[in-house]
Amino acid sequence: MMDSFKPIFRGLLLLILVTGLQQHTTAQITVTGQVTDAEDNSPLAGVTVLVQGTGTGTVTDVDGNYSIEAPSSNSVLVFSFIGYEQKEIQVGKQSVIDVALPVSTAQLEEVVVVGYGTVKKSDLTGSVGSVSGEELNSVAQTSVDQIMQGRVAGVRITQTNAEPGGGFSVRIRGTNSITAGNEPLYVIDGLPGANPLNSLNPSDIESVEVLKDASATAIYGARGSNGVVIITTKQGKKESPLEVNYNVSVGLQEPTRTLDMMNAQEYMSFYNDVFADRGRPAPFSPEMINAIGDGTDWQDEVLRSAGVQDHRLSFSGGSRETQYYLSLSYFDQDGIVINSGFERFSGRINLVHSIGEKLDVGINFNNSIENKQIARTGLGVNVGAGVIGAALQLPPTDPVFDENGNYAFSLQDLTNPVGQAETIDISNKITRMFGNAYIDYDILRDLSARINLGFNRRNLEGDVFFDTQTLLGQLEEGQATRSFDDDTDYLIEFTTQYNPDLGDNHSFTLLGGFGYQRFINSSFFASSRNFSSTAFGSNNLSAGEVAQNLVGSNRQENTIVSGFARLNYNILDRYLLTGTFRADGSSRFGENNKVAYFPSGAIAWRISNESFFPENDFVEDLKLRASFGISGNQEIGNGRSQILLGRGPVAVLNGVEFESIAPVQLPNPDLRWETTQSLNIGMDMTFLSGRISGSIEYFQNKTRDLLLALPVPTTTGFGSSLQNVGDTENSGFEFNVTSRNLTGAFSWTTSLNFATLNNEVINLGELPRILQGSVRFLNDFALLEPGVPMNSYYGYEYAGVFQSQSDIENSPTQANAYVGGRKFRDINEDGAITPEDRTVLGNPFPDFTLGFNNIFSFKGFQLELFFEGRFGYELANVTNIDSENPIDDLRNRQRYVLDRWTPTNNTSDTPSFISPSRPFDFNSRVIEDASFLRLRNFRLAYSFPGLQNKRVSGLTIYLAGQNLFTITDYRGYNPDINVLGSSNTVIDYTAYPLARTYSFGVNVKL
Amino acid sequence: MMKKSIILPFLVIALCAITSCDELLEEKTFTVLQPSDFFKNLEDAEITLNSVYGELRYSDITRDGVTLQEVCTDIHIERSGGIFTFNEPIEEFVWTSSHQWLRNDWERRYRGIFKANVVLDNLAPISGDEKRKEEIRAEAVFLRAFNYYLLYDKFGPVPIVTSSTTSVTDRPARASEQEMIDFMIREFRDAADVLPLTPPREQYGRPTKGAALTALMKLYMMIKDWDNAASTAQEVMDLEIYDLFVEGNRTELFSPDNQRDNEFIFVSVMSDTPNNTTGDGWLSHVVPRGYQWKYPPRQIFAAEYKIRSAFLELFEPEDERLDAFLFEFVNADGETIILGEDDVRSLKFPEYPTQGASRSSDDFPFLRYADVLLSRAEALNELNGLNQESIDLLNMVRDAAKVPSVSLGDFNSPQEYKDFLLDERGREFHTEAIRRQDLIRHGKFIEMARERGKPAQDFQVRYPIPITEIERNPNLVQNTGY
Repeated sequence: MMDSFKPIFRGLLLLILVTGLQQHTTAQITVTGQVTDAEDNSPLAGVTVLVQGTGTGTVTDVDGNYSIEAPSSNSVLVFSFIGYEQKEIQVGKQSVIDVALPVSTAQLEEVVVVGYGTVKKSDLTGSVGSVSGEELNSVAQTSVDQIMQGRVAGVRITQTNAEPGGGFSVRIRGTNSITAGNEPLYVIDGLPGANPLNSLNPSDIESVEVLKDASATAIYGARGSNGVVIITTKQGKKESPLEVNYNVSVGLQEPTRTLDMMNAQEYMSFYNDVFADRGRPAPFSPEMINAIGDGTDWQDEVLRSAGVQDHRLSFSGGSRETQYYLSLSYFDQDGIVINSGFERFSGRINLVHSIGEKLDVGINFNNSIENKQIARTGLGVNVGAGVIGAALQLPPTDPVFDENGNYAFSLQDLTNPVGQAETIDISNKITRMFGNAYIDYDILRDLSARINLGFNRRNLEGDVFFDTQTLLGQLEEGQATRSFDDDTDYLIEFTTQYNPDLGDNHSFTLLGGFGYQRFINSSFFASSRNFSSTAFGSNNLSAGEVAQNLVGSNRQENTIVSGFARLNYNILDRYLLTGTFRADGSSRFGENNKVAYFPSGAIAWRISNESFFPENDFVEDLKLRASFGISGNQEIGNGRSQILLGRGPVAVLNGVEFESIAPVQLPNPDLRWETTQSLNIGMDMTFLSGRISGSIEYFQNKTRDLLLALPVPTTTGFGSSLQNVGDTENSGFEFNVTSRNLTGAFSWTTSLNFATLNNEVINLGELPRILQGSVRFLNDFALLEPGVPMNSYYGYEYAGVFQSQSDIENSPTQANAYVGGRKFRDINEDGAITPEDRTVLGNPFPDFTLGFNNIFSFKGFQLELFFEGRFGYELANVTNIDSENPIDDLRNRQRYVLDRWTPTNNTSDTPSFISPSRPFDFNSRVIEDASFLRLRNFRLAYSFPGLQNKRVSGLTIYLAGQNLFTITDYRGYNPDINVLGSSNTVIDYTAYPLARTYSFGVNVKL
Repeated sequence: MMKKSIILPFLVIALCAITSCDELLEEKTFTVLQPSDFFKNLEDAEITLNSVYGELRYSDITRDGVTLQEVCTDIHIERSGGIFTFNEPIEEFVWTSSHQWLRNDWERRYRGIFKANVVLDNLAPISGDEKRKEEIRAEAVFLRAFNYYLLYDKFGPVPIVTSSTTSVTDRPARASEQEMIDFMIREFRDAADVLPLTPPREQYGRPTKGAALTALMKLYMMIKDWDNAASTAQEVMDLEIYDLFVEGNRTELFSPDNQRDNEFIFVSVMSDTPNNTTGDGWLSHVVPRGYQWKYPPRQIFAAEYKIRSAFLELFEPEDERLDAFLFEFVNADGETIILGEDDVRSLKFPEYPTQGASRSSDDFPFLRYADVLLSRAEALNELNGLNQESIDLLNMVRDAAKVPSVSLGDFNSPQEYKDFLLDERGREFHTEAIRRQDLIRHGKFIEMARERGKPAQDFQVRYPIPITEIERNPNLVQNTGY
């Protein structure tokens, strides 16, 4: 119908041209109209209206009305709105154009990035979680891991350090490996390798895809079994004018929680009482108690409110031949622990250029510089306890400064935390460059080839200086260290793709390729002590005492050589087949087993496209899919299969130290890949014309031939050897749904992801069990045993307080039992409490995890609330052991100890703490339910309407918040923590507290 | 044409990837060596031998020794600190096969044995100065036997491993009592036949003929082979290399100036510039809170080893050896703090001017001449009953400590002499980690523990084999009672 009007338009245009050029240049047509929901005719606010091929655009107001100047009647208006189908309408002679937008079924047409290519979402046969950059609310956040927390079903992202720029541990569908790495492979714009951590400006992200099942990951073979995170950055669009986007936010952070410690008076009377019960003289006199006041609140001294600012600037656009996306960012965050902070500068260049019809060249390049100021935290005890550890243990009766204004020293073997933060200078400067350049060539119409050259380099420059103003600094004798650590890898990859035209009923794409990637790590450090002046810091190591100079260096390399292929076959848009195959050779494995093969296959059936499927308005699309495949793991470090001689223990003869060289491991020439067999069954669904879409899937990953540091008889000279022994299994259900609950002027969209996980050790070869874990003089608290989740907490089960002497006599024999003391359960019922009575106290894997997002829009306002929850798991609150049974008497404790059992407070379940008996310290009292529901993100934004044809074409202001509240019974700072980093053993101990952030931001589009 | 020129480089890359695959995947090492790079000459063998010394010496050697050999006796207790976890079960006689320090000890010994085997297996094909080669062999033989001796002391017979070719599938069984003893005797004899009278290559800390003989004597004492114990002690005495330190206050034997006196026969040498691995960590575990160091800054650990007050009653007031104890001190505010009941500290190993934050240059003595004299005295008393030589030998040690001599008439029976000698050994060797074995030899280890109110049982004269080891090696049979 439109076509028939075309001559008329042309005539009209001609008429205008003829009647006067002047008129033409000014003869803009004002078009007004209303945009409504096609289904219920409600007005749609915030719909973008663009004049195609120009920078002119506007958005509809709260009543769905818009007004736009079109240059001519030939102009085409483009109406677009998230969740609705896009409509293009030629202006013609209309001055009023009302548009009804149908709800989009475009979800199915969405393209999803997979390994070495893209597929239509509707054609997916494997399990891929996809999040677009737009959906990720990244205000005041620095890493991909951080903004992905809770966004994808089955992806558990745990904080390892809540300091600014701190790390995360990522587990996709549970934990496969006991000894080898469990972190996923990251692929950034086709460059496989390490986690980008903080080096990537979140605004540069176009999409993040998480490949979860073998059908999707097996194409990355040797490195696929932990899942793959594919990050795609933004590219300029063809034939689009320059778009400048500037986003600024400033924020304020405060600790989400502090621990409730005893104040000075409580502390003194507590210890007086305990000492009295021990029959020892009171350490504090009544005069001292009366004179002290509240004493020092050490947490208050080391924690603060801290600012954060974030600037992101980007330029994008393109001609027919060349498209560009350029960005710069600056991020600056002070930590909530004094003297900690993080700063990042980053820049990105993404360019694509077409040479003729067949040849494209492109480059994606990212560079970032991060500066991190670190406050000492971590696992240290006694004098080595960090800022938080010392703040939680130092007596509140100790002052921060002595009478001379110097950092006060304690009689406790602890280091003044304020002094630590202010005078122990730890900083890291990380320069990270990565990128790739590629050449695409269309050899034939249906055959294309690509050469991809990639490069990744991370250079860490570390500085540590222990000023001598603190106990630790004095004991370290003013040590200063400078270190360099360099990771470099490069990639050469060649791929071809063949997708012949087989008519309407069949289509297939065949992909094949080779790759070579080499990784080089080298490091160097030097340190000295006893400097002539502390003013040098770590900047003049030669000013230290020569006899105290230390140096070290290290170098290692590894290589992966790969060949891979994938076939996607689509029959009648009903039957989808995917087969992948990868051969990987890794330098890391034994000479007998360098190369391994990783096949996978998947089928999907789009039932809703079958002729027998009843026509209906309810089910839009229904697809069943199943996949099976094998992927591998090679994250074991280098040189683990060989006989190697390395530095051995130092001999001392005549008082002089002599270095030694000795074998460092038992060789294993048969060392081979750890493989995961992964089964995935899923169903994708779209209902009600796309208003509700979702998927449900079941997975089962069986990991075999574990790369296990197998404990061996130490008569061999070694405690363990890396062997392919043992099996583990992870299985669970995942469920995703997105629902547009309300459309129209007031719209409401909900996304929910939900996942369950069952983790189990299946066997450990000949061994009945392995105990591991070591922190704070506690050992062997994590259990590996067939039938039990990996690294379940293992210890004694608390059975209450001994109420009386006869209670003790009638209970199983227990060392150092006393009235008021801790009673434990005799699990093996042998009448005595022994190490054999240790039992499983908790499971570190959540039974289920939840991500729940709601977006409400009304008249230019948008409210987003994103919750993350994890349920049914335990966390070892080792920090509480410092309150239960401190390493030394007279250390401060949490206030709950005041409720200790006494003959007059004999209903209390809290022990009397009279004896410092330690063997039972790892017990059920410190294993806590860590289930939580957290408001991770909150964002309230307002977009100003009517900015079409203005210099500023878009203006949004917003308020945002992170971690605004957490519902949990967990008593530590944060239930979402593992201070052991990416280790499979999970504990919380004197961690850096989590911050709550409030931000205000502005986004300007030019 | 265009097509060809584009495809060609692709094919080249692809071919490279295939053909040179093996070479590409060869694993190179840079910071570690491969065996083909090493064991080419005697220097290499000595560098590996260093690792055997390194395994024997470690910075907590005194602390761990005192815990496992004295906290279970009448001498030491430990209070507070994280390591109370490990001391409490030992003091209370409720230790189990899960005890971390027993495990550490076992593993350390076998690491030393393995490394000694590496030296021995690789030494044979190396050509070089035959005398030096033979000395290196004898050092390795001695060190290996000494590790077995230390294992035998705590655990009884253990698997004897004499080859460096070990495998994850090894499941060696324990040697019999006799095999174990015969092996150690043979090895110590072998070493004694080769080792020179003074430390090989003039490096203090290497074993000598005297060290091998004294270790052998200690073994004979342990198995109560009095005849051989007495004669081996005599062999050591006849070397005329050693005498008692009498040149000053008896406690100065352990001072910086005298700690390499010829009274010491074999010690674990600590570094002149001690750090966390090459110094001795004892002192920081001992001194009380607020103690003013002679050479600060030094760390005072939360853990505190203390002397049982009852033990101090064994000393006569004029005994110079009492000077090894800290009874009181003056704190930073000038107050004198008196250390009361069960709170006195053993400062037998004193401070050094050059020292790490928590590590000093105090050597840890394994074998000392006073032990040779008192062992011969004890053995002769067992063999011959009361006799003058035993009295004389005992008096040599007493004279050195400036306590009155004893005479035959002071004792009514060999048992009386024996009991007195045991007390003398306590006064002489406390904090040197041999009390447990002395008490066991005298049959008093369990009895005295019971007197202290501990639930000690007869089988506890041996420590249990670590449970981790039993779980990994089903051929190991646990000691009775555990």
